[in-house]
Amino acid sequence: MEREHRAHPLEGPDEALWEEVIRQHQEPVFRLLYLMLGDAEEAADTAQETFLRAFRAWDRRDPNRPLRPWLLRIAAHLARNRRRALGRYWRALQRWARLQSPPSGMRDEILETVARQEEAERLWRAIRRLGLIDQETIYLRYFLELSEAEIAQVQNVAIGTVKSRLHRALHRLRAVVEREFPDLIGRPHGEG
Amino acid sequence: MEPRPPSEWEDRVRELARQFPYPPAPDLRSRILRPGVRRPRGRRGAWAAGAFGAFMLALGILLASPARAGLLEFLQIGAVRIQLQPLPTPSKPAATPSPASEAIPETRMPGILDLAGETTLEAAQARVPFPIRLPTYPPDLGRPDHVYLQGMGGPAVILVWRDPMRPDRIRLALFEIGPGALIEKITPQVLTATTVHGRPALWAEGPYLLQTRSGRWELRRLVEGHVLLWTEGEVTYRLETDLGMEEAVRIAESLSAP
Repeated sequence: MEREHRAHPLEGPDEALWEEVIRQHQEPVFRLLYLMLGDAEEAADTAQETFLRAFRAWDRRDPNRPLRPWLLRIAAHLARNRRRALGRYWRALQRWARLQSPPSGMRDEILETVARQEEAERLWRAIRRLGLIDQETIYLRYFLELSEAEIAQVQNVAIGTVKSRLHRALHRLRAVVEREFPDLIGRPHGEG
Repeated sequence: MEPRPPSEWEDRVRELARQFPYPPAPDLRSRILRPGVRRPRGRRGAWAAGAFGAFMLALGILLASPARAGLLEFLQIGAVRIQLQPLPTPSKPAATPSPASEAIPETRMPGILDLAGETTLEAAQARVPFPIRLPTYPPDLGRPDHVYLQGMGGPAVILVWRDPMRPDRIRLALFEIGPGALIEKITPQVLTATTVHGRPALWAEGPYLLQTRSGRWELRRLVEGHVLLWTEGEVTYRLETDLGMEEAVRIAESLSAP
């Protein structure tokens, strides 16, 4: 049985607790990083760094708050910094990295997935046209399905700010989708 | 088309998001917790592992349990991250030598001259938030022949000295990388732990991405030799030289006071 996503009362993570923390939270951490960075290898690398930082900062966290938003906050911070900082440099590095290793097949696999997955991926492409905060807010709410209160903890803002961000992000996303992916709007689930 | 109310649009986004085809999440426990079950290392990996242990000891990083020791599969020194082994890919053997240091030739003078951001020492100093320090050893080194200022996610100053005996070659290149700069990955073929002024340093080999005047980032190695990496405060230093490690450390320890 999985434990509650609550911080453990111990002062520092012993090995068993730390393994359990990783086991419980590695998937959402990886998924958020994949959505934000767009590269599975880089997401795995940054997820590893996320847990490393969490380990180091363990005694500084608020033990009364849930663990997952805290971990996602570290992950989002790392991803934002990377994306802001790297720009063309990062893209060049990624191109180089791809040259060094055979394609993983992941992109091909995505392209060959069923229509709904293709739609979801097109939505992702639309989301990636938005600003970083808009993207992050959408990922947390609709992809990781965090509550508004949890998002407030991840982003260290008031719930009202989260509501505003969600409203704005959805509005902007819709504008992008209407302009570039109009078929995503008019086909509710189960039709066509 | 009649606009849909926001709630319907929100539902649509949620519905699509649930279909998103994530790649499989890696089991980080195998990376972080259980070094004993990692892929077999090649000769270089074993070599790097030895250096890793020595370096961790030098760093004084807490290694109280195997779990804690296994937290790192890479070394990070300042802005530079060094992979101890290639990241797992489906068809790339772990022991495959990094093509980086094999395939990237040193950059000769005509190559260095096309690097972006050439400036003067004074102009560079005016634009970076840390003091640019110059080696005072070897005594005949003098001021750098070329100074470049590049943005690697943070300011990075590249100081280049020509080799007076071989005009098409570079004698020494010193990168001074400011806070906020990129964490870069290299997989070195040579990795040795050492110290600069008693603080941990690494002696490694590997190329770097540098920006050329055309705006392209290219993988470059300025000197056919090795790289000494160390940090002081928030600045990461990277010295490229064809000299030996002891001489490189001596150069590093000769940097003028900030």
